[in-house]
Amino acid sequence: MNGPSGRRLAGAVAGSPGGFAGGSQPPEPLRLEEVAEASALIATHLGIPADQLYFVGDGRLAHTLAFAGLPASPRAVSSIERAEILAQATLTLPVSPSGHLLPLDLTRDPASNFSVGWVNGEIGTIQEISALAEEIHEGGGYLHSDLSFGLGSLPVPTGWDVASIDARAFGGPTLGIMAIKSRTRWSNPLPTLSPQFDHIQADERLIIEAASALAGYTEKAKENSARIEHFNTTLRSRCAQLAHIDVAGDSTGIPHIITFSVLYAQGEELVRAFAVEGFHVASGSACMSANLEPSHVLSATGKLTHGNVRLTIPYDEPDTSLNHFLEVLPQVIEGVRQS
Amino acid sequence: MSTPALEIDTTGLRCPLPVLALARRILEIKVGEIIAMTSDDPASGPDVHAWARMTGHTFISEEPIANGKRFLLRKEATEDPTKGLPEGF
Repeated sequence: MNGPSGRRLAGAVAGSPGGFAGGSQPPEPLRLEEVAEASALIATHLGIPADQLYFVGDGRLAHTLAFAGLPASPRAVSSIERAEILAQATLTLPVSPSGHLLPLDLTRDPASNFSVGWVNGEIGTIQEISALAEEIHEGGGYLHSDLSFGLGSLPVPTGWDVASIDARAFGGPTLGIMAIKSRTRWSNPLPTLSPQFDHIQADERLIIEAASALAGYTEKAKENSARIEHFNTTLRSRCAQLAHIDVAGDSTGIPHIITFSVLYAQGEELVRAFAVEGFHVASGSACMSANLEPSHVLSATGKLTHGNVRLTIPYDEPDTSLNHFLEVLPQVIEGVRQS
Repeated sequence: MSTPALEIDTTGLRCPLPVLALARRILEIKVGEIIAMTSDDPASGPDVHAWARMTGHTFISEEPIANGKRFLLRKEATEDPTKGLPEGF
């Protein structure tokens, strides 16, 4: 039987086909209240007032600016953060094999700015952001957190000072969201003639689109999380039964993100073989990256980097498709190892 | 003690081939003996570590060399690490 063709297990691909770019029909004029409502909805999800929200062109820019705007002082970053955050690090913080941040040594760098993402988008590991924030504040530092991959799925942690979100993580458009708590000493890191940092530096329609995507995603997550969690558990135990599979993260991670590596298999071939079965998966293997470097998240957690497969399961992925994935898994692996 | 019984060079090979060569060639030495492997694949660092963990052999060291890294591993009493793979793999 063929897989439900076109099902998408790889996340962060939702684009905005957008009917407003070009074309002969001029777009409907926006009502200001609509933008304000959308912004308020996103703020509510984050547990902050709307005047602490900022919108920029994309997620990477949001991550970069949110962290870079903190006061100039040493910057400690967990070793599994995104490249644009790691690029700002003066100190890299090690993680455990499951991807959890190891206990901090604040005597070493008491007033640093820290950046630790909430849910890792590659291996699903969830960090204790609220407890971490408390500890950092005691030392006089600030905490930036990338909240992209938990927003909509789990209750948002408190305590962070600045946050950034890639709206694509919850099925939204290409849009970056920044949250800056009012108590935080944050200033625009970009060269500018005005001290003012505008709240809206992106297409306002995208804000409305993002708010509605977030509402929909949250609803779907609520309805389907038990189902996806069951799939995660089953997949983990299937991987344990099959020979030589290295599963990243652990069972305490977010259920819809799961990553495993197949010993002696090539990541690219696995991606291709799953595509034949109708599953679009991603890979952190070197052969899938432009610079031939494997995923730094897999390296930092000591996981096998070749033969890597990453699933970001949409909450509305039907059971038939999830079961089909489990069914074809052994033969896909076997086939790739033989090729 | 750490004189390798076997030296293999995987220069030019990309993942998963270096680790596959290691898995195949370690069969040629006795338990307790050391295998040295050189590789210029950036993925070999994490992969040789992970392979040793997954197959039960001991990772001894890695050192940078002119074009890549040289790894030392000790063969432990373990089942064939290529078990389950087709003949001639």
